Amino acid sequence: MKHLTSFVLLISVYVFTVAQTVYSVFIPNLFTPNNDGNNDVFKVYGSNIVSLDLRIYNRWGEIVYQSNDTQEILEIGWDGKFNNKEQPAGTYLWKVNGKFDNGDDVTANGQQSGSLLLVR
Amino acid sequence: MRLLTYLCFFFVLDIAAQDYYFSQFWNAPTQTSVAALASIDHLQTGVHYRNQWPSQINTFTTYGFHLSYPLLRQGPPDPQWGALGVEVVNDISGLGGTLNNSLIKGTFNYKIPITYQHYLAMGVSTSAIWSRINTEGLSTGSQFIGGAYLPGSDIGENLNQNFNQKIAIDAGAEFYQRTRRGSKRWTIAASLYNINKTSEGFVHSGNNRPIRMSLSGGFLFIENSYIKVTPRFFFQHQSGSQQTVMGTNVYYKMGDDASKRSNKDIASLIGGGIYSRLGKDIILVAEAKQETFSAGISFDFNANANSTRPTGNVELFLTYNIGIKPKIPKPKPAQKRPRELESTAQQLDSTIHTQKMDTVLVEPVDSADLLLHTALDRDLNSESHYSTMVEFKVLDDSVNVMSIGSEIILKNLEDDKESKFYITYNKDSTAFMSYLKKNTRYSVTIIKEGFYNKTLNFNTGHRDTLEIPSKLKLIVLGEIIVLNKVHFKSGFAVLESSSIPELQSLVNFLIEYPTIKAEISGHTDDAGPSGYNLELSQLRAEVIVNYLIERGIEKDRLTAIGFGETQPLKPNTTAKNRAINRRVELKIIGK
Repeated sequence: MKHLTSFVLLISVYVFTVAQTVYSVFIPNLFTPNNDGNNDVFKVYGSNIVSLDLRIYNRWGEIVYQSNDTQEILEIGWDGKFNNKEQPAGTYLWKVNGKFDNGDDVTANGQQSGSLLLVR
Repeated sequence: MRLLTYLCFFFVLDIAAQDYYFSQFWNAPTQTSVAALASIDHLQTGVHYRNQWPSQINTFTTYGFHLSYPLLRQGPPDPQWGALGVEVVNDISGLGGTLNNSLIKGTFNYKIPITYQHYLAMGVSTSAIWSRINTEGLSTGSQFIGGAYLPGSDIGENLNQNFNQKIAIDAGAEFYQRTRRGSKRWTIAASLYNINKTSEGFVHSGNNRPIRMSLSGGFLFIENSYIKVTPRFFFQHQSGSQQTVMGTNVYYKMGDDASKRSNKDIASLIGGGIYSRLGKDIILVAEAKQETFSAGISFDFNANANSTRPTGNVELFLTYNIGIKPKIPKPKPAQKRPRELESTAQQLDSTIHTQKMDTVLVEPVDSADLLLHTALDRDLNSESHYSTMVEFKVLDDSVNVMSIGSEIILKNLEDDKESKFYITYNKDSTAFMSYLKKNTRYSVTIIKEGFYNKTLNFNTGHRDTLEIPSKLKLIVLGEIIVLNKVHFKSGFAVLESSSIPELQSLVNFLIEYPTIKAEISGHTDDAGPSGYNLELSQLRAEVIVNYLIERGIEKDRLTAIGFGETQPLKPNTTAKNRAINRRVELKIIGK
């Protein structure tokens, strides 16, 4: 019984810890789509996300990437191309819109938008 | 210069969004199109600021400065044939300035007149671009390890090359038609950017700066004394993406009266524009322009909730035209008119009747009433067997040539010696008298403000006395002088070379009478459409005015106006009458 109590307590601490760490996503601000195997795609990193919408704008305000498929955003991401053409190096803008399973808005460092540097 | 007065070229229609310069304004040539620069005719300088996404995050901030210099040459019809431009830009993007681009760009332009109103302008520019990545605060996917972001871990990239440098070359061409007011009636332009396709990357080599092209155009929908409406479009494309912007600007011309407003030299404009990025968003523009300064602001307004473009991009510009005149030497005045002659001998004592100087003896009719200052003081033989007494007399109602302010120049045409008299005091005298050599040719020139100079040649012969009646002609406001020998190529505002002597004497005339203000008017016969004739006559008048300005006549003394076929001298019934009706006139509008 004592062991069980300790175990439950441990699980609770674990769950609590996990909850503290995953209700935020990580979005990098640099990616290098040059097919060298490192950082070739731009993805959102996180878990416990139930819905997610990601838009990436170029300097002209055009959307060069848009998806509302959570799995795609987390696992495939943007490869730096638009209409099958490699987009030029420079600064892009991302915006996310989504919910965690606890109902909170998806944010990265508390922000729903930010800049992104594409270099090759 | 008047033809190309800068105001019209506020409506430069070629815009180009370059990598580091994304301008919504059309009127900073070095910052927009490499072709449009050829239209400038002033030394112009300007500053520019743009901030994108201010409401979201200060992601893109651009500062620019430009200077453009027109290239001029002698001769009609159009002294401006090209331009040089230089531009410095600093562009900061990314939160906290992750990427910093600086560039310096030099542009050269060349403009070819195809007809008197069609032009082809071509330009090329070279930019040196320095880019730097601020590595502090950079994060990559490689730092997401074991389900968590580890800020201190390896970013998985070799960013030793956080600085790179490249050269980009852009080129463009613009074809346009000009109206008689100098605005662009229509224009079409194309530009190619980064045609050398620079490929330096920060991490790897790659084609990271694609070639970009733009196509733009517009036309003058309405221009009258009150408003000016200029619809235009802009399309640009680069790999994978393109955008189209369409809209119009509307300007109100400010001024005291319609004639001033219609004159592009004087008109001040205030106006605004509305543009649409293919229904995605709306760009609102407000602008104010006058002769030297212009300023504007634009604001991107998110038209609908699904717009791809965030609201709040702001752009500001300010340009200043530094007045510049063609560096064409002024001709020397045919007759320099002394305002104040140094008096080497003053005849203050009325008992002294004569004054010796050169071959001229001054003998006032009533010596007590006349005070002459002489410029020359030389010995002469004044014996009567040697001399003729010449009396310059005033006739009936004409002006008294002996009155104060008159200047009399006597010249011995055989030895070219000249004597000048400047009358500073006179009471009731109506004649000027002098002893001159016998059997000698002389000329006398009488100069008086407000009157045309008069020169008379005469020979003293064997006579002992000679009476020369002189009469000055008043410069009358509104007087019209037909420039008979000024001819243009048929259908064009291009001068025939046979016009040059008369134009040169017109230049001399305007130099000689520095206070005269003149209106140069063009007239045609009734052949061809009246609107065309009106425009052609205006352009021809402007060509004359430009010619005069280039040769040193002050711009504000000259006005060009075209009357087309509205003021024939004779009925357009015969070829001879038509030839008489095709003419350029000078009208004295100020003296």
